[in-house]
Amino acid sequence: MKTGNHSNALLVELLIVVIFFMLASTVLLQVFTASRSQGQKAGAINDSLVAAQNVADRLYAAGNKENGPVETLKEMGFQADAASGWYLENEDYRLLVYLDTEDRPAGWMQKATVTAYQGEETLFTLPVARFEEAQP
Amino acid sequence: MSEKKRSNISFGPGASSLILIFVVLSMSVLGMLSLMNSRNDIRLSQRSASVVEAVYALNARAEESRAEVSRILAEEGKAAGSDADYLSAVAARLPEGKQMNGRIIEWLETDGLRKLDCAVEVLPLGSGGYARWTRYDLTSATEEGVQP
Repeated sequence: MKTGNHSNALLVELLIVVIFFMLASTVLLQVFTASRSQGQKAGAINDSLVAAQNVADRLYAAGNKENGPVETLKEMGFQADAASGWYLENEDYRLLVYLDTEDRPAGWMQKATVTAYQGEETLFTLPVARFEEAQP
Repeated sequence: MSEKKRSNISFGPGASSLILIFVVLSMSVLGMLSLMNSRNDIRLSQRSASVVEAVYALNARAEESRAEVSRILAEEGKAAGSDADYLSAVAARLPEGKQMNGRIIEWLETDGLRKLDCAVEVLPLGSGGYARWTRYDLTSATEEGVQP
């Protein structure tokens, strides 16, 4: 009789332990998932920042060449977007480049914006501008 | 003999609760450390992205100022008879914040936290150009001991 009571108490305790462990693991799983997604976002920002700086610097360097920025974007694997932009898809992020040329009294201004996205969220935007003088 | 062995590894009440408490506490500490680490990582990444954005925006503003200087040089270059007249006319027309020192036009682009020290050299009349960059130095506020 004593052994039976002992076994019942152990079974009830194990049942409570299992239920509590399931509840605790549900909460802990959410914490680990949030941590992983934040880590992935930090990685995406870092990677896209390096890539966007590379694009911005190459666009600046190509500013004084005939059709230079477009050729540079094609070389880097960008594809033309329907809204007259250029995009590059990556596993973790997407880069979108808009080019613009403005005529100025003493030359022209080659402008570009390099924007990085993760999903629908905008991570950052780098503005690029290069003024080129016309011959006097 | 075998009965004696069985009694040595008995699993009494309370042991499973103790193991559970230990496991849950350990996992909670690991989870919190992991979350804090990833939050710090993302904060650092966002901060470096905002610094890079600000530096590129400052460079773009410097190019706009350069275009404005070239416009003045182009307009005065058409009217001036000599190089000396050209330089004095340009010096008189420079907007506020831009100084002329000999053939050098200097100005400072700033966003409050960092400064971009810019200078262009005015090319002589009839040389085939208006101006060329001579200085493009960025100083961040942290270099001057200011906390951003």
